[in-house]
Amino acid sequence: MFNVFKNYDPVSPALIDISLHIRKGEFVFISGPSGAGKTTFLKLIYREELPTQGQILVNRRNIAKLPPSKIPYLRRSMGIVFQDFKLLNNKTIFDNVSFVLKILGVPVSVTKKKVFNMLRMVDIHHKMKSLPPQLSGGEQQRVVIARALINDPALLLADEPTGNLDPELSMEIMRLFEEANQKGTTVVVATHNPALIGCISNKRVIMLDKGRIVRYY
Amino acid sequence: MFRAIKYFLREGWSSLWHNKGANFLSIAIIIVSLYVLGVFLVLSTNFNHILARWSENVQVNIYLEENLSEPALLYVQERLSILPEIEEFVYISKQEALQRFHTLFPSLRTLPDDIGGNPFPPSYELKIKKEYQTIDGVKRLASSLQRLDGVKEVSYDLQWIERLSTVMKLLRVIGIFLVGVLVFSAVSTTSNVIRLLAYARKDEIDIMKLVGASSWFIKGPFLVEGMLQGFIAGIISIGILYLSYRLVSYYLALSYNLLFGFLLFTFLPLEYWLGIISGGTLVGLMGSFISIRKFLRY
Repeated sequence: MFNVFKNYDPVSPALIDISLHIRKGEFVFISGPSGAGKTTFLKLIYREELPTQGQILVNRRNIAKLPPSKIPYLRRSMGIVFQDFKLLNNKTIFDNVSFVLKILGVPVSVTKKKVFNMLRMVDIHHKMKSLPPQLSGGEQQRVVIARALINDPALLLADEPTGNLDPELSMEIMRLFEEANQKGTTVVVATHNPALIGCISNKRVIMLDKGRIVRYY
Repeated sequence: MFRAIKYFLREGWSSLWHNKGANFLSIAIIIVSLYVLGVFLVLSTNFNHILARWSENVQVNIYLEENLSEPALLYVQERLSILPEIEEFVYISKQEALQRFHTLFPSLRTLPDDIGGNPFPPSYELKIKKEYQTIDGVKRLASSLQRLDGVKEVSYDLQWIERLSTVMKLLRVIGIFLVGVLVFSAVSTTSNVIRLLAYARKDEIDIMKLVGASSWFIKGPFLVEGMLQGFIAGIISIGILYLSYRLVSYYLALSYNLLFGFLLFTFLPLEYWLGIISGGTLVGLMGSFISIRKFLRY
């Protein structure tokens, strides 16, 4: 990211002059209080939002200049854990997760096995025939994580991934992220929870406040 | 590819089934437009049949001048034999014409004598070849015969055919206009119904976009849903059309009405059925295509 600004309205900019580089295979935390610009930061990376000013390169591609028809391909190389889950409420848990593989054209037999294993990893396989509204917040969050990891993404973006989980499960999820990271996935986790940051070694933390980078460590 | 089509079909069908109420509306309006189109097609097919039948019996008579010399008569005969439109011709002399008159109207036997002799001119009766049995063909032939030396008058019985073909032209214009209006309203109804359904599923569409679904992958089920609407409407409209055709022909046959009794002898041929069904499918596809585009902007 080079000198990135994002203004939703001119009075209070969401991001101000952000320049940073996340290396391939890195594990990075974006931290800061709510309203600091963490979610906007992630939205710029998966091209949900365009920067008002500045350049963003993801995998050497300039996202601001990406034609709309190429956006799906960018997103297919990512796994995204949304803060508000974004699950398809009229589809079962299994279908929600397998949808990503369907888009990629993975054969049904492979999909079945892969989705089941992934759901077992996040310990929600016993509810794979349920619909999202029948699940608790924590359970839904685990489904979202399973969906984000199912396609072995090159880049994992997680927005408050443990917001609805108890500490024990939070640790478990972070271990999953770390495992993905060890397999080569670049992981970017936005969180306001300092305890979460403490549980991963060998990581970088970028602290945002009111849209600016206030600390790097 | 095959997997994607299977997915579109399954999703499209399930959405059609889940949103029966709204989809019923567009199916109904497509049925109405296809039905009206079908009625016009049935009428025009049958009118065409009648025209063809009547044209088969077109006879052209040429009346010759009185006291035509032998060479002049031979000249006319020679011309008639080389004209490509004429299949065969028969010469009716003055005397034969009078004979016919006597046979046809025995009660008027004395009339020719009363008006001072045989009033019937010698004539030729021409039979026209099938490929020239069109209104324009016959008209052209008549005017070229009229220019022959020794020909006094050319007559042909085309009035009815001409009238019927005028009615047909009018019918066609009304039909095209009416069907045009109905197709427009069917497309816009389908488009609005699909827009409503897409709007209700806006969140879902957004999520699909966020996890990397291409616009075709999202569009597919909606397009299939629109096409299914049109397809189902096409089949139903042909069913209703056939029923009403049977009903109308039944009552016409009962009434023994000479003028209209023979009007309906055929239903639409198979290619028209296929045309109506694919027309309906196309209307549904257009409707959904128009409405879904705007939901897919990134």
